[in-house]
Amino acid sequence: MKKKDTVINSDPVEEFSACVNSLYVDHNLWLQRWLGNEVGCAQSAADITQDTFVRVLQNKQDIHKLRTPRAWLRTVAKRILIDRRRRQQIESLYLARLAAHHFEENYEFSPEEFNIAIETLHVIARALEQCSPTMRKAFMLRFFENWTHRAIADHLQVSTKSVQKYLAKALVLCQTD
Amino acid sequence: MDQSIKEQAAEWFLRITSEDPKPTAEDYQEFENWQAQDMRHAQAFASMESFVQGMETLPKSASVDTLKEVIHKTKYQSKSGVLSLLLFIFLAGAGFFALPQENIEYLFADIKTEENSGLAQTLADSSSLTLASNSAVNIDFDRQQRRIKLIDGQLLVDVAKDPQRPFVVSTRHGNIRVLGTKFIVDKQASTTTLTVLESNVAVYPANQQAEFDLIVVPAGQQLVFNGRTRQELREINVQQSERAWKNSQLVVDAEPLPAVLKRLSAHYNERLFYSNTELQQVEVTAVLPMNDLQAALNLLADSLPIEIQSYFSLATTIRIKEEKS
Repeated sequence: MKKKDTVINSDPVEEFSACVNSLYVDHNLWLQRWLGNEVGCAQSAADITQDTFVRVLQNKQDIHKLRTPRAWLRTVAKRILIDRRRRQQIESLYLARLAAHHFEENYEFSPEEFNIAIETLHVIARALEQCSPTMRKAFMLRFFENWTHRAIADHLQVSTKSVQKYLAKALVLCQTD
Repeated sequence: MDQSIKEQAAEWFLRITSEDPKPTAEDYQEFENWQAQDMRHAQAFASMESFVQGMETLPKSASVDTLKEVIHKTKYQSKSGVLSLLLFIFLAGAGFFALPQENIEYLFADIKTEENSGLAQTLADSSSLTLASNSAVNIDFDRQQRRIKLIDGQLLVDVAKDPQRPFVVSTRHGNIRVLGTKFIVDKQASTTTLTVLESNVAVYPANQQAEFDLIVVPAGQQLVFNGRTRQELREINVQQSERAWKNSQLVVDAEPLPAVLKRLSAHYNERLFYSNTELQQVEVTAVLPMNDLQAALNLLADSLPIEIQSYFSLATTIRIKEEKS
């Protein structure tokens, strides 16, 4: 048994999960309490805590090198919190807009379509938040108003090359997890 | 995937799909070469393409509106935002600074009504707006939306249909987005009351950290809310509410007496003296006149076990009537 333990511990994957495990044991309750204060709901706090550790697992960082694991966990949790709030906001806004169109034009949509749309809008919103106002404008005109690059360039008074640069940057941000 | 491959894929996607300027024959040739260079190139391009296609199949106006509201408002601040800032600075210089924001808004409202005089007006989009007395609104119509800001008081709107431009009534406590047609908004100091007469109306709290999100209020229901919280929906009688509104009356349906007295006192700007705890048990269902305080109080006294006393119109007290032994 003893020998086997040593072998497993030398496996980098196992070592990593042991690290995550101790991180979880040491800070799980603390994080949950901190989030509880932040969101005011025990259930959401538990969910976000879970998501935080899942993200930690996915990131595969050098956890054992972390000097202030709590500060780092808090940063990850905050990012998840912001994402959740943004998604909730998108859901309610989009629902209301769709409802308005549904009433006025009998526009039909299925739950799947709705979920895909929310996901896509969330990705776009997150990307555009990191863009300058000019880039956002170019993006909206190109992909939602169907303007040509030249028309956008004229409108923003920049070259078509710049327009392409703006759009490329925004698209890459959309493809970043 | 490699960040630089994503960047290249984005650039190629844009170059190849551009309608003006159109890609040249050389562009296509270079693109083919790039794709052939590395398997990951074609993959990255395909994923870019499917993302854009997904984006372009979204219902346009709903998506654009949602994105505009979600992304920081900075970019979408209109010119009127700048104007009102200038105005505010000017006012501050003129010594208006001590006034709370709402009073300033009230002073400069687009439409205002005095005491005892309502007003009916047809708006540019042929919606009809009726204002109660002591009310003020700002009207802000543009190509994207029709917005009415209720600064104070009560209004009834009969909204003309315009699928391109949603109709929004906002108060300090939240935004009411019209999905249907006819409703009443009553803005008090700490809450807003929405009564829906026809179809559906959506309400958002003004405060982003509010305890409720969007709520859709159907016809025949009433919602009381402020920037943070809301009460449960209440059933109301549509015909009665509308009739009462037309006669400028306050329709009260099974509300505790202190709440009713508070509304009366706010409406008439008159101090009424009573004890919340004493009167909390008394429930009121009544239609009260909004142009004669004494008449309203007499009506209450007639139907409830209460005693109302006026002291030379300086003060009015309301108490539970003592049983005569």
